[in-house]
Amino acid sequence: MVRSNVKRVGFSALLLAAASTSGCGKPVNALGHGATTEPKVTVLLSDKAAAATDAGATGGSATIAGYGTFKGRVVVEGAFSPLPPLLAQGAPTKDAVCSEKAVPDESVVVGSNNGLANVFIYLKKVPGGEIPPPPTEPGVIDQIGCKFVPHAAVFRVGQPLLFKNDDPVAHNTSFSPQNSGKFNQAVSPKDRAGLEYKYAKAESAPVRAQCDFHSWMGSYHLPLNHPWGVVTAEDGSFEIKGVPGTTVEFVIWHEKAQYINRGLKVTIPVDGVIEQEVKVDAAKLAAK
Amino acid sequence: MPATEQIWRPLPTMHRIFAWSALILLAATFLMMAMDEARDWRSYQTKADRLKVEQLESQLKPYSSAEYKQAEAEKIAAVDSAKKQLEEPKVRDRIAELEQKRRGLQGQVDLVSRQAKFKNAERDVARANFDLDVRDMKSPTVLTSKLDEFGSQAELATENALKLQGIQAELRLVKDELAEIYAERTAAETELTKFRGDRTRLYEQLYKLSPNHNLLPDELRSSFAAAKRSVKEWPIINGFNPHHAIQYDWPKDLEIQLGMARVSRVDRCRSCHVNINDFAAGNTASFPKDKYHEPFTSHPNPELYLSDTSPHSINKFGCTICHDGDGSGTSFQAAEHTPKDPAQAEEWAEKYGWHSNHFWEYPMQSSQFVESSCLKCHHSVVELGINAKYGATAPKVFEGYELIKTYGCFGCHEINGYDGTRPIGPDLRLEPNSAAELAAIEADPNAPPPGNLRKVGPSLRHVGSKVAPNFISYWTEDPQRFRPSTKMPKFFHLDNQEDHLANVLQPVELAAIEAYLTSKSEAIELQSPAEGYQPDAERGKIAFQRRGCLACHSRDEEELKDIKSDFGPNITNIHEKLKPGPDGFRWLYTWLKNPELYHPRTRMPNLFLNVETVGGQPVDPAADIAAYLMLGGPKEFPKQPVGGPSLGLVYDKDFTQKKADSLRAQHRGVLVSDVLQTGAASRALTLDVNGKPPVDGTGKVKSDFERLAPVKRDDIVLEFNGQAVTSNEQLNQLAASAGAGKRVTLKLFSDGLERLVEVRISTPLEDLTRLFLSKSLPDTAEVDRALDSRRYDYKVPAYAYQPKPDGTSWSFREWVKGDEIELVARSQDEQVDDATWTKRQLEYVGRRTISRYGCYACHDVPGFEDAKPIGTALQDWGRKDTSKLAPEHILEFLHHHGEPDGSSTHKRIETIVKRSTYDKDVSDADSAAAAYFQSLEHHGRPGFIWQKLRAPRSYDYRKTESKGWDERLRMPKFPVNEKQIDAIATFVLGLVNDPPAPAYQYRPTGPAKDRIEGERLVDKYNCTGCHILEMPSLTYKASLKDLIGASKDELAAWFIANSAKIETGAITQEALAGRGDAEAILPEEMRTPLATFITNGEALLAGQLPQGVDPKTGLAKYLAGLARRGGGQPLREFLNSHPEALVADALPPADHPDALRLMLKLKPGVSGLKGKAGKDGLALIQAHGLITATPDPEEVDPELRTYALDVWQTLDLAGRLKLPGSKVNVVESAIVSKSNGRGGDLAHWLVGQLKDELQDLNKSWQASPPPLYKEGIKVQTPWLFRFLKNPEQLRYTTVLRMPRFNMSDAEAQTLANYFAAVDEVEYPYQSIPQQEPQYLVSVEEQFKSAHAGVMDSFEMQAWKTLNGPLCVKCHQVGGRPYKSTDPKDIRGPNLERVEKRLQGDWTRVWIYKPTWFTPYTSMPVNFPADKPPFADLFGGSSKEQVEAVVFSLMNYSRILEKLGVVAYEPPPPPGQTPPAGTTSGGQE
Repeated sequence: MVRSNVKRVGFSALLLAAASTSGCGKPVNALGHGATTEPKVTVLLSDKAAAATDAGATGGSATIAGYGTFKGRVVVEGAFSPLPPLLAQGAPTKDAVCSEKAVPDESVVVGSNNGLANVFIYLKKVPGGEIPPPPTEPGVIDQIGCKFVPHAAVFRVGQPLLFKNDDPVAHNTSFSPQNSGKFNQAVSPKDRAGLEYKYAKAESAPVRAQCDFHSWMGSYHLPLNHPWGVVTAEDGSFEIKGVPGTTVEFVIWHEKAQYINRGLKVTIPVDGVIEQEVKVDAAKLAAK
Repeated sequence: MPATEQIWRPLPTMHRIFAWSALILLAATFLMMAMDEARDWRSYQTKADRLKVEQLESQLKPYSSAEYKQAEAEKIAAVDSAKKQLEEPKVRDRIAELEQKRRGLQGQVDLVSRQAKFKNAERDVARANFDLDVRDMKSPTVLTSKLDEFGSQAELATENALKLQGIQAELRLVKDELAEIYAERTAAETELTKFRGDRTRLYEQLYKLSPNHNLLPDELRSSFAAAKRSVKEWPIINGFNPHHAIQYDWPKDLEIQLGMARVSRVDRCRSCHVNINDFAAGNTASFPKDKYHEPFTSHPNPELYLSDTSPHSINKFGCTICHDGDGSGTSFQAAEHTPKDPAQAEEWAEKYGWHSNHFWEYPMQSSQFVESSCLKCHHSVVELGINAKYGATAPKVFEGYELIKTYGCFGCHEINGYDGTRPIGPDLRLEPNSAAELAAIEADPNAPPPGNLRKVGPSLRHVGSKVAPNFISYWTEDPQRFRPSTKMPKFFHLDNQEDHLANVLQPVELAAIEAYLTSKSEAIELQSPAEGYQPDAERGKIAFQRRGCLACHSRDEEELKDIKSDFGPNITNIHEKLKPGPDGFRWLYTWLKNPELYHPRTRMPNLFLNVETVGGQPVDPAADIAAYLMLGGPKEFPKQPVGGPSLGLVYDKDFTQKKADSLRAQHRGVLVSDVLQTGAASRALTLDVNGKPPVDGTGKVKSDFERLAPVKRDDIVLEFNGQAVTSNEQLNQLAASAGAGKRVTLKLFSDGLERLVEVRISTPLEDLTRLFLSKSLPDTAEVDRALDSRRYDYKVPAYAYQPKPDGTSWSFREWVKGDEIELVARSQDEQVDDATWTKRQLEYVGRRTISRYGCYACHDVPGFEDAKPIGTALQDWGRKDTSKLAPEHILEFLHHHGEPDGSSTHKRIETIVKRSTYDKDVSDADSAAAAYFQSLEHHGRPGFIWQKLRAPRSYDYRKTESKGWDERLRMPKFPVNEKQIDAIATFVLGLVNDPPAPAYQYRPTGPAKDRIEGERLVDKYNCTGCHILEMPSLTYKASLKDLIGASKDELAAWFIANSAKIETGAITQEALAGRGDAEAILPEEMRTPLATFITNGEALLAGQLPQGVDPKTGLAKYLAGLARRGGGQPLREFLNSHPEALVADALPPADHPDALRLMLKLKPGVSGLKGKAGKDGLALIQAHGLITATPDPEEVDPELRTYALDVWQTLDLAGRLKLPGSKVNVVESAIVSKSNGRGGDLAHWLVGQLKDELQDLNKSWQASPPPLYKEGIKVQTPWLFRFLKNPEQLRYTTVLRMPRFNMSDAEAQTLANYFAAVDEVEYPYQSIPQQEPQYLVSVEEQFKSAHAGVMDSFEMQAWKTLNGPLCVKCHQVGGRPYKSTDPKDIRGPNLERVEKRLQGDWTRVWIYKPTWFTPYTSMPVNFPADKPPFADLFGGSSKEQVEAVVFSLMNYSRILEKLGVVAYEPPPPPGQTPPAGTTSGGQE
């Protein structure tokens, strides 16, 4: 749910010299696990029909001269003390298996050099050009030790999304996207095949999935109708390759800080790299 | 030629006279004929013909287009081709053969059936002969022979009958085969006829009006007919069988009172309003108001009026029963039209020579009051405002009804809906005051049913324990001063209370009311929180916001600014009015805890504010809320300025020499400017020059009556008891210090002379006591005696003060019937001291004042248990004789005053009329005001009531001077605006006590009645304050294609066009389902919808297709087969009967097809199409549900500014279904309108508040009052009845509980029935198949045969399923308590209640897929079709597990008793051992 009282978080943009690197210039297909995995590079498809299926995402008909890379880090400004676990080890709970290990509070994960993990960075609108079709291999959100793994992820509309369960107890996965139908289903113990869900439409902000059996369990995922979205790694770093080489707008969103930026304008150099650091006030992350 | 013997008069003269007479008669005849020819209706009918022809011309236009012609040619070709097929030699031979056979067989049938008749007759004769012989006791031989004869005849008859049956069967076969051969031709011909149907109808209509019209096809045109038609319109000829004629409607049994006689009603209105019931297909007006003008328009809303299918068909009702006017009139004037305002009156006068006719008793209702008539038949009123079928059809009259109920007008003005036991109109009466009164009414067969309305104000029976000193009088003086939003009207400081007398007497009356109420207040036992409990106002504030208070009350606080609740008062400053200190707190605490203790008929419910334990500490929410509401502390209210001893005179403040000169007096003393009507000086007695009472001729002092010489205006008081009077203040001081009851001597300069008078000083209180006593005592002497002896003992015998022989006391009521009871002495020798006497006088005056103003009409006041309403009864006010209305000087008043700012109403109306006449630019409100004013000018009822509600006391303008204080008008001023006044007037004017025959009255029974009565209770108990009764909606424009892919019709059309390709295999089912090559599927945009349709169909139609058709493989061909036959009709029928296959979105594999079918049975599709697609290709769609997202205020990109809504209904979009729980997502710019639905204001507000805290919209809804959407299909009515009477705690996720209302058994029954009636389900009892013993037997049998070898019984496996490690996660189940370690854990309702609470089918669907009923629920799909949770139960069938769970729930207590606590743990999946320490809740 987008909260109306989100204040714009100040950030300072640091524009670094664009460096020409190999690998730029081609769009990537969507990933399910943020930027922690090296993106698999595919050749841009010229299938017009495929592009048309995602036509809703195109914001204009600008001719795209080429593609470039947007990278950087999201860092916390100010001190932030780590959060206590949501469920301490051995704490009494409905299903003892859940507290065999402590369940960490992943709502704010600050890594090395004050990098902020689990920040969603995604293109608000596709400026034109062609959009690769969604991957056919499913994205997976597992439930391990009464915790969602991964905690934050980006998917593509039309890509199958599997909710799995590695625990010997049932979970109940539910989420209510704004633009697609609800999902609210019990996942049987040790269900490794998983329950499938396919997004029909993109969302403008990440969706919270939760387990109503275990009230602390929550995670965020974002279905996009383009491949230009990632989640920051533990050190707060991110890299989006193959972005259309024009001026584009990125949304930067975090579950605690909500909108860090609703439309960060970045001019992507063709066959180049643009790097930017995004700062988040620690106070913003301490809220509720 | 002169007169002769043969002739009396000269013939030439006579000839001339005859000639002239003949000429005059001829001229008169011609004139009559000319006038008759010129009658309005003739020209209207001629013009209507012309309009109709024009309309037909434009309607026929599309039929001459190339597209139409081509389509027609195609249909003709189809017929030809079908005919051609019949001409193929093989077919033709077969037809010939069959036809011949048919003819032969038909001949045989005719022959044999004729024979059969004879044979049967012969058999019957034989039987009769036998019977006759039995009667005549013939010998057994004869009888045997007769019987044999009958036997043989019967045999012959049977033989013949069998023969006939055989031939008929053969004939049927032949006919069937022929029909099969002809099928295609028949279908094509039918299609062609249908295609041409509309045009043919138009041709027929056109031919009637213009037989030679050039748009008619040549074979139809007839110049002869046209000529004949025009000849028939010639004068004289048109008298014979004319096509233009006066139209009559004779509504049966709808009589009209004309003078003394009741006669049949005849309406000839349609003679001019020619097209009034001309409606096009689909009940739309053929001549809509926006395109045509009167009298050529069609009546609006044909669904409801005039059309044959409407409830008010013109043949049954006519016109004047609703519109009034003179139905027999055929001219504008004679019909008694009524203009809507003065400007229209002027316009009509000019155009039609219209004038107001006072002599017709039923002038037509102007558009302003047209709704009033509805009340003649609609006595229950509610259906006129809330109506699921027709919407609000008379919103104004309904608003008036609601306002009357809100403001409690019926308390003073009885609106009795019965004349004896005969219903005559709406019934608004107070409920009986006591149980005894109720019993008496119910026992009397001639009494109408008792009234059922409660007094609208709070009880004042215990008011002494509640409010601060002086508050009652402060409040009563001007209620809006303390609470601007109050509904209590104002009684004081109105138009007729602006003089000196009122200034003096009003404070006394106010103080007296307070004295009476306080003194009579009965004590109640107040409660307190536990000893030592520290109430917490901060906590109280949260409880106040969350426990439901805001459903009825509001407070002026920033964070509550969105709360508009006005069912209860705005309680911002409640702390000011309550008793200071602990008393006030305890009162509030008691009221919050148990409102019925203070006021047994209160509408404030018991909110179950029980003490809870939070964090180990007791929390008393009632005490906390009381502490919060008491913040700010008490306020001191001023005492009423009750005057002391005085002369009752008002002095000129500016007595100048000039004034003295004008009175020819010296400039000394003080000048009297007013003598108070009730004051001491008005009773002054004359004295002689010596200051002695004058004596008569016999030397006896004259009586007071003879000596009466009141002080007059312009008298000058010169001396007071011999002391010179120097100033107003000094004189007042002298009077005050002399003291009440003292006789003083005044020297006056009066009318040029000095005179002495004696005045007995009095107080305003005594003056009022004297005034009121004078009305109940025979003469002044008695009044004086009562005042002097300080008691009222008129006709009270001495023994009344003594105890009765049995020791009890006498009731003085036996002798003192009136309010004077307050002045009766407590004992015969009681010495009444000053203070006691003042108190008694105050209570007496208070009681009189309460009687006079009728306070008890709205409040329960001690001592007024049997008091009767004080106002005029209103049940026939709409026909009240206008000569009985007393407008008095109202026009003079309005000439000078009348507007809220004091300006002239007359002027305002003048301006309106001018603007209306010249600029044609006035608002409806102004136009209404002008109409009311004009009515007032003509002594009309509407004008009278309008002004009565605007300024009730203005009718006393310049009347107070000649009226006694107690004769002044008493009607209070209600805080209503002019729009509300208009609504109230419309309602009251409809109360005419002229009900038509009972057959015409709307007297619903069964569900329709329960809905109406239920709506009344929904309103009475403010159910909609918390609950949503009708879901909010979004109306928006969208392309249907994007939304649903293809409509049902498009799917059908595609199959019809492509059936051959499917049958030949050019298009495979695989391709259709999107699994194979889709190249052949054209157009491309059909591919996706077809894929959804076939894929869903494969899953959903298993078991639904004829035997041998497998949906997985044969669905496409089966549908193609249906599409091919009869123009595709079988296919359309198939689609209609299988809505489940028409779900617009792909069905998830987890969903159960059977459950979907069941859900659609419970929640059938509701059309969401509100308008056809326009030129932009966008259709207007309305979806009902909960809005889950509104545009982000910070988002500027219009494409990203969207609304989202969870659909709660089954949305039918052109035949494709969007299931409940699905999403509607609309960009802001596409929204046409939004509606909040009906009710649930608190729920919406609370969700907004909780959303931030819970960070989840769904959980916020779970915490708030639930919408009562489709409650009727959900709960068992008997349970709902019990729940309404005594609500138990159901949900644990909510922050508040359903309160207990002060509801009678009958009301709870009606309300429980209401919900079932709304959803059109069986009630009051619903059968639960799962609870039938036979059900168990049959499922047990099925279980044994399906799961042979399983040791468990069905019941045991069912119980295990319920008690597995799923339900127990959130519910207390099977005797095992719910365990929670985290306050955020979601706890579901206790399952033990299900068997009594929920309906069987609803529960089944709920377990299958909860979001189909409640999209926001946390309850998951536990038993997905594709993944059964328990592999070892019911052979791993999800469906059986669901049915088993429902069975267990519906037999919960029985099974629990039988099988006990069973904690079922499924075996771990193969190759998996549960880790140590892993337990499910079930085993804990």
